[in-house]
Amino acid sequence: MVLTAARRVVRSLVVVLLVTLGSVALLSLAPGSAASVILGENATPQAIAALNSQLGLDQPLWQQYLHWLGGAVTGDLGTSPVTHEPVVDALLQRLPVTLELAVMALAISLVTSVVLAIVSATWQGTWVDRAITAFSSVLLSVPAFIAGPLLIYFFSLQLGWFPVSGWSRIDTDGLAANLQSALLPAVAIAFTEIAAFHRVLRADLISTLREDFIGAARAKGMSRTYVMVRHALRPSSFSLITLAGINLGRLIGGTVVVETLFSLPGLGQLIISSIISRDLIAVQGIVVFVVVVYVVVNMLVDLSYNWLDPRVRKVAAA
Amino acid sequence: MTTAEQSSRTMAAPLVPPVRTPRSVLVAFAYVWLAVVIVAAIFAGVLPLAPYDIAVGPPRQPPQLGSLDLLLGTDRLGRSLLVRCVYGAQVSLVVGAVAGLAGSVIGTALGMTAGYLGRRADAVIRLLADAMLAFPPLILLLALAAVLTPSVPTILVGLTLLVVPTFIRLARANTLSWSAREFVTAARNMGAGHRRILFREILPNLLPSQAAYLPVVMAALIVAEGSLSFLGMGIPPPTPSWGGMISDAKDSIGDSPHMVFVPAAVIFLTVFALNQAGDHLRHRFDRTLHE
Repeated sequence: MVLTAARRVVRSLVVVLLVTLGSVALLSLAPGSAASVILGENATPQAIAALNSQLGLDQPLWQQYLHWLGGAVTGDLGTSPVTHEPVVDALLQRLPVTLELAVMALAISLVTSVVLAIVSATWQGTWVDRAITAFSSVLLSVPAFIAGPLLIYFFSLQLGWFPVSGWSRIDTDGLAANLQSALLPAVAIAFTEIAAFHRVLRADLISTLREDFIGAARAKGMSRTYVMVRHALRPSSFSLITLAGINLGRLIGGTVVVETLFSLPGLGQLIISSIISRDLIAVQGIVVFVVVVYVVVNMLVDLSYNWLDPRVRKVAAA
Repeated sequence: MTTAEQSSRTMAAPLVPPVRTPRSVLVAFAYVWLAVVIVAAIFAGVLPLAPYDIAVGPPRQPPQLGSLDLLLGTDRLGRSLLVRCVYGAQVSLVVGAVAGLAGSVIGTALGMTAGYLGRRADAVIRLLADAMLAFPPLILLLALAAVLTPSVPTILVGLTLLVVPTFIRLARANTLSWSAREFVTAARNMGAGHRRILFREILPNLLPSQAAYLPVVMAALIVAEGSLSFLGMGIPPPTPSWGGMISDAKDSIGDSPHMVFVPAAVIFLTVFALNQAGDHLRHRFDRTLHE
């Protein structure tokens, strides 16, 4: 078991190295080099060459990469040539907004989909199940950039329950205002995930409910609800957890969309404004940060099977 | 979730599965809508429609009967929303189909190589797929948009990269199971070379499951292109794209909501139809779902 876990960690590490190498290579291949962005359009070739050597962009790729990696592991992702601010500072300043959105969206989609899946599986094949399944295939086809404007139109403009855009900070505006400004964007991202999670969990629950231990528990006189929640849910949750890890990628993409739409000061807005100002060092820093988080989360998801299901532990040990 | 599957459950799992029931209304609707969108996109130039970049009436007109150009209303420059949706369909379908096909060909080739050769080739290709999957889709597209100037070819490259690892995994898994079968051993014993086994024995068996994934992949690609255009990093104007139309209209959603609802409905229906078609095809052709 320790060996499997170690192998998984090494594999993730190699992937992180490959991905960061790719990001650094992409930056140095960019047609408009970082130097011409810093110095402006009218810079002389000599000035560009001088700045390139100062930034280390004239060195071979592997040297650039080692230099970058040395900085990255000590928490230095470079300084933005546009804002003259360290990329890590800008990143950490924006991170809480994106994190709150992502966590909220994930919580909304997990809770909703678990409830819907339990209802579907309990009354499988009936009109309730068919209605929920149809609803979920509709939700699956509503990406954040459609859900967002629709939610704004109905809940902010028609009903006036939520602000149209903008972010309320938790420390200055209070928790209620903060949640109010985060709820619509989080729901907009959650739509597709609710549908995806419901599908997977419903199928897994239905196959678990056919197993003998469920029949045994029911025969002992345990209630349907108790058996569903205490016996069936845990062994059925593996695909759900795997999918939640994988779909975190789509969720992060969703935060970029809603942060732009609702003008929220998060990482997504930072990456868009950095792309527009051609601030490649900032773009690179954010991309690398997001990718590393994503890889690490998925690694932890894989490792969590050992903890979730004793059967996996035995198989791995044997 | 076909109706056949559901009815088999309610009847306490009979030993012989019931005969497949006819397709649902939704699946039929999905194929009809896809046909309409494809025909509209192909014959956009022949249809009696105004050009997509000139005004056909006053700006921000709501949908109205009478003229075909004004049927779905006009945008903030007075251009016909119907016409722009039709030409936007060209962009979305071309992007989805070309990137989907290119990605599936590249991914299948790599996945077959990995599954068939095994050992070092397998390790290298799996690592490559893992590294590509490590990028959240939209983040990869944005990283490319930062470096390359957005245009149809560069977006195609980005979207193809998104699709490749999925097809690598699918093809690799299926190749592993097919190459262990007796007819492959028989072919090898009769002296067939690697190329013959790969192309004549294994590939024909992979095609149905690979093809059944295409609609779902195309739906994901249309969403990805839409998100990118919505963020202003996609197909540059004046070429109409569905995501760009929503982005264009989102600030005036309070006064003229139809300018958002029309392209939103078109994207929703297309993605929904592709997902339905994909589920339908996968249930029929994907062996891994049944075993």
